[in-house]
Amino acid sequence: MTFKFDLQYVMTDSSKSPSLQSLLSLAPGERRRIGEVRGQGSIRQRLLDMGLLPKQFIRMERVALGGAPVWVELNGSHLALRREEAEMILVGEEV
Amino acid sequence: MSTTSDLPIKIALAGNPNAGKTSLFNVLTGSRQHVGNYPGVTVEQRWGHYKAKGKRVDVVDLPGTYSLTSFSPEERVARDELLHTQHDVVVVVADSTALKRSLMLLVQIMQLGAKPVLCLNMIDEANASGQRIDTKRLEEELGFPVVETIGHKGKGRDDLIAAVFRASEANTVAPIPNLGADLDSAIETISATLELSGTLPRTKAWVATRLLVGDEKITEELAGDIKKETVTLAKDEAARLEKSTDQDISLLVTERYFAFVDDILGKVVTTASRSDARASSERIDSVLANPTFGLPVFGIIMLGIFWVTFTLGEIPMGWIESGQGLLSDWVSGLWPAGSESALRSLLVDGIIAGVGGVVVFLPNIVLLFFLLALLEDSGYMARAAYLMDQVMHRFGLHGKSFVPMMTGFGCSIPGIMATRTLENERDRLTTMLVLPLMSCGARLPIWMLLIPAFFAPEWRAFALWGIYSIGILLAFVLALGLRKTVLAGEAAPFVMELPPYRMPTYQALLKKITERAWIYLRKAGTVILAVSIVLWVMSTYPKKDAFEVDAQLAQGIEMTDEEVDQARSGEALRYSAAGRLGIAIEPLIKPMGFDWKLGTSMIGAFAAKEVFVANLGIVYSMGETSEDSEDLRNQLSRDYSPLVGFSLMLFLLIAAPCMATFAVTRRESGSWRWAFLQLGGLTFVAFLLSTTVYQVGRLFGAG
Repeated sequence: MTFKFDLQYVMTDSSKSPSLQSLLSLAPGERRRIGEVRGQGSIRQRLLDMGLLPKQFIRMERVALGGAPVWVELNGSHLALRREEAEMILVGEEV
Repeated sequence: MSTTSDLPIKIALAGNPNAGKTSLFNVLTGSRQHVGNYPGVTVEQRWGHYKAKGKRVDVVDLPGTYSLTSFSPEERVARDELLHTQHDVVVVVADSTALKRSLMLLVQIMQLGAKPVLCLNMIDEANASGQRIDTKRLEEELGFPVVETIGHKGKGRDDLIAAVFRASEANTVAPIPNLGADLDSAIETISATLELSGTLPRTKAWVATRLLVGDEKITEELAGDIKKETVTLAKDEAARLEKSTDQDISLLVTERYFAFVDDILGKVVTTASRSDARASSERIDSVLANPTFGLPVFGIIMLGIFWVTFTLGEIPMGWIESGQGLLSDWVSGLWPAGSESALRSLLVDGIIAGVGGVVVFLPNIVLLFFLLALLEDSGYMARAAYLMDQVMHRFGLHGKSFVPMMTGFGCSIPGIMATRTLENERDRLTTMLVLPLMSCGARLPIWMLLIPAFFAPEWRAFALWGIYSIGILLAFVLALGLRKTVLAGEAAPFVMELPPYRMPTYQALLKKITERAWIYLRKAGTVILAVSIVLWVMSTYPKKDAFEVDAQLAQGIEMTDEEVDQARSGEALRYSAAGRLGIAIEPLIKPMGFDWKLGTSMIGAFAAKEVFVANLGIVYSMGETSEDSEDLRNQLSRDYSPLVGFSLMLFLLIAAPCMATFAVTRRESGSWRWAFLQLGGLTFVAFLLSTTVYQVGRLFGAG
């Protein structure tokens, strides 16, 4: 299954961290390291508290029809993230 | 050495949502527990106790949280309790399959200067996934007791109880966790300037950390204890750390918590084999959570649930009905034949007909609750929320709104209370306000009565599915309307756990079903009993002495005895208080196709929805000798067209939620404004839709 690569999104981000891309750009089955968690306040803190931290491995499990919410695996637990939250998580290049 | 005196030991259970905290709480306390509310906030609290070694142990089950920040009401309650109450022991319940995340909470509790016990729950699942945890070593590393449990199977109770005693007898609190030299020294510097009162000095490290990350709530809460200089000092320390590490302070602190956990787990966890415990879950999800088939399958599951509720429920319903008939005959038999005793009428026509008409639907309620509990306990509900979020989100709701809304199918009250899992106030209010549109268990008796009266047998399951669907659709439309108007604003984050599928245990299912069946029966025994009596009085008095039909008879008009009886009871009801009230509101309900009999029955439905059925039974039993539902259905299909039947179902689905819902909305939303908006808004929409359906239907010649 292929997933549409969101070129525009990657380009916007490349201005700050050239090698990072949105979690949303991963196809099911792809596994990457988290590079950065953006956003602020309570939403970001919630992501951090759930273990979505830089350097952790994250695996895309499933993508809902329409591209979101996404279903990811992280440290053995499975989480669903909506488009807005998934966009806050930037992942590194292939490992 | 024992912890002196006969004072009970006080312990708290803390842990992530889904860590199995509640089943462990049940295992510990059995039925010795009660549920209440924290004063001032809308978070549920469970207390209980158990006895061991002749000691009483009081247990409080804290709300499930991932952290002790202060972003959700649950977190605020958990942290208040841990901060201000000095528990003898804090049991941290960890999901062994997600240890890293679970232990993040433990680090914060260690900082709070508690005496913890770490409970590795669901250890069987972690082992099945090939993980071996060296519990002994973990205990040595942490410096307090660690036990293995399988809460939902009731395993590990004795170990946990023993560990609680060991921890309570310890002389020292947990060691302050090591978070790296730079952060530790900053925490120490801030701690040194803190002069906390009462039992608070033990919490210094945690309070200092909260000040460091700029938690304004903690400054408010401990206003008297925290000096301005300390706050300034914390700010300086935070700036210094951010500069030296090139990381923002909240990320830094969370990462250091995580590193502490990671370091310890690295020493005690070995991954033996890479067998995937989720393999079977994965196979199931490839169908149930499939992007394409997931939603249709979900629709079919829901349709199946309603079909089973309807068809299987018929069987025990028959038994209850015949039992009720026997009871009614037996009571009637206590009086001589033809007696006009008011007490006989109150017992048979008022109480047995009214309460019986509600109790008869208990099998349906139990079946529906059983099936919903099955979905919940198996883990399918989380998938449903995942699948539904996109749709829900589009209508201004949240994937998590879905679970309270599903609960609303059982009863609006726990549904509205379950909206507490929604962190964002607007998400929560929106869900709460439209929730009564989820056709609750109390309305099921109404559908069970009306659908067979107006629909052919092959259409009945579909009609039931249809009425539920109309409620859901309307809830979405109104939610969107609310989000565009009175509740406009940002949506809350959607981060949700998807636990593996688990086989529900029959104890847990049984507990849920009996709890809810009991609530239903208790309602039948109290509110409905009272309303039945009031309505019987209202529909019996004032009594009419001279009947017009007698005058007609005297003029020589030919009538059978039965016709005379019916005409008399009709006149008597019309003359009674209930009849008069029904007649008074008739002009208001006429546009929807309703007459005063339906109006009279609807008045009581505000007390509790199922009272409508009881009332209709009373209204009609005045002219009938039997209160059997089958007879009532025949009466209804004779008196009203299917169009009126549908208009009636629509109105009863949408209009004014029951008294209890009104009260709970007031309590949960914290203001009368929302409760009145819900009551008035829904009634208005109901009137509008029923009128439209009836008038348009008549235009096309139906009914």
